[in-house]
Amino acid sequence: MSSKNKGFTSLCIPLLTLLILFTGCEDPGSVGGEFIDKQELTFDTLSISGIQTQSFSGYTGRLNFVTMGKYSDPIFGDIDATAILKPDISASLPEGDQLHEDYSMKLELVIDSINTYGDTFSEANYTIYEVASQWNGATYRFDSELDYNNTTPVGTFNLNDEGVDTVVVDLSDEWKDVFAGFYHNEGSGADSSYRHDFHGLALVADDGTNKISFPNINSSRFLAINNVDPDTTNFSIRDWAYTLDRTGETTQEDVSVLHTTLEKMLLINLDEFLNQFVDENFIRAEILLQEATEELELLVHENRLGVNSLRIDIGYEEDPAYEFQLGGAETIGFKDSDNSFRINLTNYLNNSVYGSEDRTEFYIGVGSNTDELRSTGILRSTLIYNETASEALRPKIIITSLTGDEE
Amino acid sequence: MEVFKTIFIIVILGLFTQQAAAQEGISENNNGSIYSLFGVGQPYDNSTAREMGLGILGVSLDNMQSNTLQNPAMWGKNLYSTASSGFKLSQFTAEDQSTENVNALLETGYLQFTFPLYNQKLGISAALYPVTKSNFRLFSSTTVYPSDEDTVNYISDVNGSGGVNKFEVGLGWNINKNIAVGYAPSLAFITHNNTETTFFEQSGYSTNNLDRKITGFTFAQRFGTLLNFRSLLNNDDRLSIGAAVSLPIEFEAKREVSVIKEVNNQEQEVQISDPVEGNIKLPVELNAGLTYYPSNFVNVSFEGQLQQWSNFESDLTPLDANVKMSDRHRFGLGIEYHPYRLNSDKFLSRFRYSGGVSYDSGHLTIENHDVDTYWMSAGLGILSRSPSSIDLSFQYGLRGASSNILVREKIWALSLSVNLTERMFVRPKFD
Repeated sequence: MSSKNKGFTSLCIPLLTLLILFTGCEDPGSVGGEFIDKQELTFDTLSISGIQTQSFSGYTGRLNFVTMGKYSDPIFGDIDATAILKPDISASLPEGDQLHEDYSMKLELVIDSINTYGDTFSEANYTIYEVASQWNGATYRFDSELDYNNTTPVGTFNLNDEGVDTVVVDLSDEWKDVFAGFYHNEGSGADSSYRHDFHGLALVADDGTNKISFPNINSSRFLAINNVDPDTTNFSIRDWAYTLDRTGETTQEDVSVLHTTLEKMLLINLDEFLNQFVDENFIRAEILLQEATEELELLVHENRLGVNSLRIDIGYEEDPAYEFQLGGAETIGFKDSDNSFRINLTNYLNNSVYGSEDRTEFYIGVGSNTDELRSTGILRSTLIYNETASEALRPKIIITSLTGDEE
Repeated sequence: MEVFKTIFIIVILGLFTQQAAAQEGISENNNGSIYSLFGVGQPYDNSTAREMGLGILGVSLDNMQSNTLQNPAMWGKNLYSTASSGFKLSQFTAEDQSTENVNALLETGYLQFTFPLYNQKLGISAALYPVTKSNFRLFSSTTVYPSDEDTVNYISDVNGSGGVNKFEVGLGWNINKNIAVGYAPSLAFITHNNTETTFFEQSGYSTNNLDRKITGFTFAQRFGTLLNFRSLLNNDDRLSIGAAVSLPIEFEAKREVSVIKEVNNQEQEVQISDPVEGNIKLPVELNAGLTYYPSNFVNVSFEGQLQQWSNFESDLTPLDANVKMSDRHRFGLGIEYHPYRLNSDKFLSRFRYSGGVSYDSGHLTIENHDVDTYWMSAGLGILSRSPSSIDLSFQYGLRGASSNILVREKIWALSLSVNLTERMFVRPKFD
């Protein structure tokens, strides 16, 4: 290396050292913050008006639970729910066995021990009848027509106040023989015949029942028991649903009712609000609904199944009940500690103000999917303060924005 | 020479990397003075490292080997084709009455090419250089209480970048041995970004990226003259008097405010308000000075600048009531020593040394206090056998004051200019 290059190298080393020292010591902060008109967080609260109540026939088939029982709710009316079940026929008996010879059949119901609606200490009696009308769980709604042969009970069972979570019910031999006819039918149209001509069982609450229980379908099953050579064959449940009849619902004027069965839902039109959001740097939009918690309180020994979340869906033209209950939710709002539901609308608002979203109507309700998936099918209801309630309790839209001088 | 070329390429690459990063809003190690947040940025000093070492603008520093942006008249005196660029590394230690922050800024400045059309008679210059720059960054945290039970904490990261730049092509004419003039028209363009990123501590609030962008372009022009007088006090001395004036620049600019939002399941930049159009007027600038060369080894310069920022107008960047633009005055005094002309073999005799002091009244008056700066500077020129050179300058400055809401900035700056010089377009005599 020439002496000149040596000198140059000697110069470069301290320069590089300086470079590293300068760039490595950065610690930006708040000095000078007084000069900056930074954006400030603002909250605009707008009361929602023009809320409509809508009624739909919610789907009740093939959910995780079925609802059965009777209860006279002081707010939500007299409820009568009947579960209907149909055994699967794909299970195999030991080779050569015939159902109608040495077998008896039972129904094992696993009841959800956590959730019981009504007078939890009361005793509930049920009678099982053969369903006489055709039904399909995939399309069954709470108000679908149900006929059953109430002259010939297939079985009876009792749910007492001891928190029994499993009950095994003997089913009549007459019914077993009818089922066996379909089970052993090896003809080409056997499955079609079973689907159309065998209608399963209805679990009907007797008069005097004052609670509603929820059998877990995934755990419940039909049992075929060999009475000679002790052996049990399990028949899972092929199809299931429930009907619900509600009368005498009485509520105050300032509250609106929401049910998991979609008997009551709220319809909100945001058309008049959307123009207000243009030119705003909004970062969050949410609907705030206040639950009428105090009105929902019951006697100590009675239990009403509350709602922990509400869901919101943009209005669908075809079968809103299906989309709302079984489709993907637009968004879900969970209940806060202050018993309010906050449903986030930010994505919708972004799509509406800046994107291609042109729908302005929302359904708000409690779909069967609203709660965690494992508890779908459990009957739940709540009361939400509506636009006639006091200012503090009315439904609102809260827009959180960052606002600066020029925005 | 190869070393110079290599460094020049590195600098050029650095220039484009830096510019690309600035366009993308990358702010790491790209944060300068907090005072650059006002208007369309802080006036940028395009002096070469040699001129900075002297503490002067360079409007009167007559030199036919290297180029300068400061005075178009000098382009007519060039003997060589030149290409030059440079970068500047600064550290700003900003403090108010309670807090101290450190920002580091690595930035490129000008890129200039000059070509003699007639040797030392008529020359042309093409240059891309900044006029103003914004490069501040600060954080602040805020807590708000939407209700009695709710608390929202958020941090704002405010970042300024861009400014006014010029692409300039100009001519210099060396009329005779005493007088040279120059004219430089240019396309001035403004790309000024002020981004604000807001981070929330609570879930349910997504990070908000807001960008205020001002764009526009217009025509600009400036003039320069250089007067030379020889044998004033002795047979070897000379005096150069230079002056340059940049006429006011008026933009019809547009401001757009956009944010990044998730729309239709995709992140998109959306305008949150209609674009706003308005005028931005940059003031006239007058630079003048003299350099006296008592011998071939020493020169002394005294230069001054007036920028009439009190005439600055902007419809798009309103100022707070306690902030106003005020006329900017700069004065610099420096001395330069050229021992390499002794042709000594001693290592320390191979360089050019300079030193100077300057005062800058600043273009801002905040709460009736000028944001002025005192500078001390020193320079080192590295010469090669060819006329090419590398210049380094070191500056230390004190800006503002840490009283009231003002911020005191201690500034360390290291500048490097690379000046490549060749004789081009000269037909060999043996051809």
